[in-house]
Amino acid sequence: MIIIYDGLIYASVLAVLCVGLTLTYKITSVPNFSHMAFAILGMYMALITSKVLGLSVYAALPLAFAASGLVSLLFYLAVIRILQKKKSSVISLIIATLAFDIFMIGVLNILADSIRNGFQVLSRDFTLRSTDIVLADGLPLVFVVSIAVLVGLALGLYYLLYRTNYGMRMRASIENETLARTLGIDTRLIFSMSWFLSGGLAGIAGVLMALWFQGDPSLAMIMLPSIFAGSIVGGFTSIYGAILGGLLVGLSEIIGTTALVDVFGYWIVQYRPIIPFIAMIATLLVLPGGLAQLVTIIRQRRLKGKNA
Amino acid sequence: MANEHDPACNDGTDCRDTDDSHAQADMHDHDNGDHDNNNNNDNDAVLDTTSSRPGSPAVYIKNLVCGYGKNRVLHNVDFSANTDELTAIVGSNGSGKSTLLKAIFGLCDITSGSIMARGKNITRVPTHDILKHGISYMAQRKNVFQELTLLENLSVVGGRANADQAMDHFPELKPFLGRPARTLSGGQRQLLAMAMMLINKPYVMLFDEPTAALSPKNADLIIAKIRKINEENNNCIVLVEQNVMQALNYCDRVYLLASGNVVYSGDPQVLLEDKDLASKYLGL
Ligand SMILES: Nc1ncnc2c1ncn2[C@@H]1O[C@H](COP(=O)(O)OP(=O)(O)O)[C@@H](O)[C@H]1O
Ligand SMILES: [Mg+2]
Repeated sequence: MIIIYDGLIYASVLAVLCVGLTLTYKITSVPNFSHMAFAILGMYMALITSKVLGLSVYAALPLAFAASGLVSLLFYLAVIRILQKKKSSVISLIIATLAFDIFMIGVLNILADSIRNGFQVLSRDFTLRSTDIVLADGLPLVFVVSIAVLVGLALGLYYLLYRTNYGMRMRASIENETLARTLGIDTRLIFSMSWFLSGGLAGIAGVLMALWFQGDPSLAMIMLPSIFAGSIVGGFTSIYGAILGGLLVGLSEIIGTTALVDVFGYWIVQYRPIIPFIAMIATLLVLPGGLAQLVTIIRQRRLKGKNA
Repeated sequence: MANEHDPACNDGTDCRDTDDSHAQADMHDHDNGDHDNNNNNDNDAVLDTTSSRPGSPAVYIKNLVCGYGKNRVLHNVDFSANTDELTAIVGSNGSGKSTLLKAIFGLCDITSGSIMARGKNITRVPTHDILKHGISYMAQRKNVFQELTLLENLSVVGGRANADQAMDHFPELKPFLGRPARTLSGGQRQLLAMAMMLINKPYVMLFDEPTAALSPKNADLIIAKIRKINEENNNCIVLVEQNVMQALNYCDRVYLLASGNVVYSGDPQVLLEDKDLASKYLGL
């Protein structure tokens, strides 16, 4: 049972993170290596809400969304926008996001130490699993909420992008920024909102992670291969690719590690990141466009079949 | 810097006379008379954004120096286009025609000079706000959103209700409303781009080679539409055209650009009769 919880909670959370990473990449062409830091900030919002304020961890969801969204927005406005205005290369942008990730790890370390010193609360490798509500048959609430958040996100994004005028403007701005601007669309606002949304979603993912797994500032680096692997497997351009890619990489990581432990012993857990790395490299070698490309190929085959 | 030119611009007579030196005795004589009579009220009238008197400058550009990064493309260009008129911009490839239109929309780097639209200085207005000043622009390429449906392309600009209204002028497009724009033919795509421009009922419409890469039949259709829009709405149309002979026949006023300089402005017939200019720049 535990492996199902582990696998599905981790996979759902990873999928939410991959959606955010893909969103900012697709909309502003920035591969954001500081994306995990926004999630860890969410984890600490959960810790503060639960252990310092004494509230339900779930009360941290809106708080984490706002805090991580705001940090992400500020990073975009203060650093990324200025670099893009100077027409910096993608490499410069990547280095800037990596630098911000390292900076954020420092901030999170200070935050963790302050919580421990100020409130005598365990703030490293902590988990809030024991504070979660247990439903019938030992079913943890976080399991249900993680899946609900992912499904809600998929439906919500579909509605936003394809059923609202704002979403239409988002898609227009992604396709042709100059044309969008000449037609009166304030693309700066749309790009800023996408960074806020992406960061906010990472914050929510962080709260859910804290309810089942262990939280620590170092995860802002350790989990990077997993979220990039999920996004790349998904194609890095498609929201639904990111969801599938995240689920796939997440499940393989948990199931694969468990299987490897059975064969080789517990020491192999150290090498867990090898699974997302293999997924990432295999995708780039065999199908660089990821699952999104696969879908296109299948569609074209079908069209050809119909025409023939 | 830019504001220095305000006094000259608020006075419609000054603006036009400085440009019209080549076409003293042309068909616009009655307009000049009109301006002289109303000289005292001109400041108020031109500042009023709703004013659209025939013959008054809807766009007025003075001493424009602009380009891309360090590369200067236009050198001290003066330009004005009047309400109710069709102004053509002609010149060889790379002479800066597109850049002149882009400058109005803030799509190139402006070093100095000023751009006025119906009396308001719009030189530093951000691109996405230019439309609010009643100006719309159709780029030469990539002027519709390929991945959006026709209806979405129209709705993005002006909401669903306006989209339906715009369709009344373009019955040719009605059967394709639900299709992605990338499935349209070249001529249909230009019609869609025009429909998108018209949605906000602009006073000034800038067209960058709308007939490039179209069959002669489709090109004629597009030009006929543009002329009809001009007649029905009495607005100001600026048209960059590669078919010079044709453009000179139907435009009210022409600008000839060469290497980023205006070498002629005024009556198109006078340009045609000027053997020197015509042979040097138009290959006639
Ligand atoms: N985006 C750009 N970046 C740099 N230079 C450009 C750009 N667009 C045009 N140019 C240069 O500006 C000059 C004028 O171009 P353009 O205005 O497009 O000419 P036209 O429309 O008259 O053919 C050309 O020399 C061209 O190479
Ligand atoms: Mg051009």
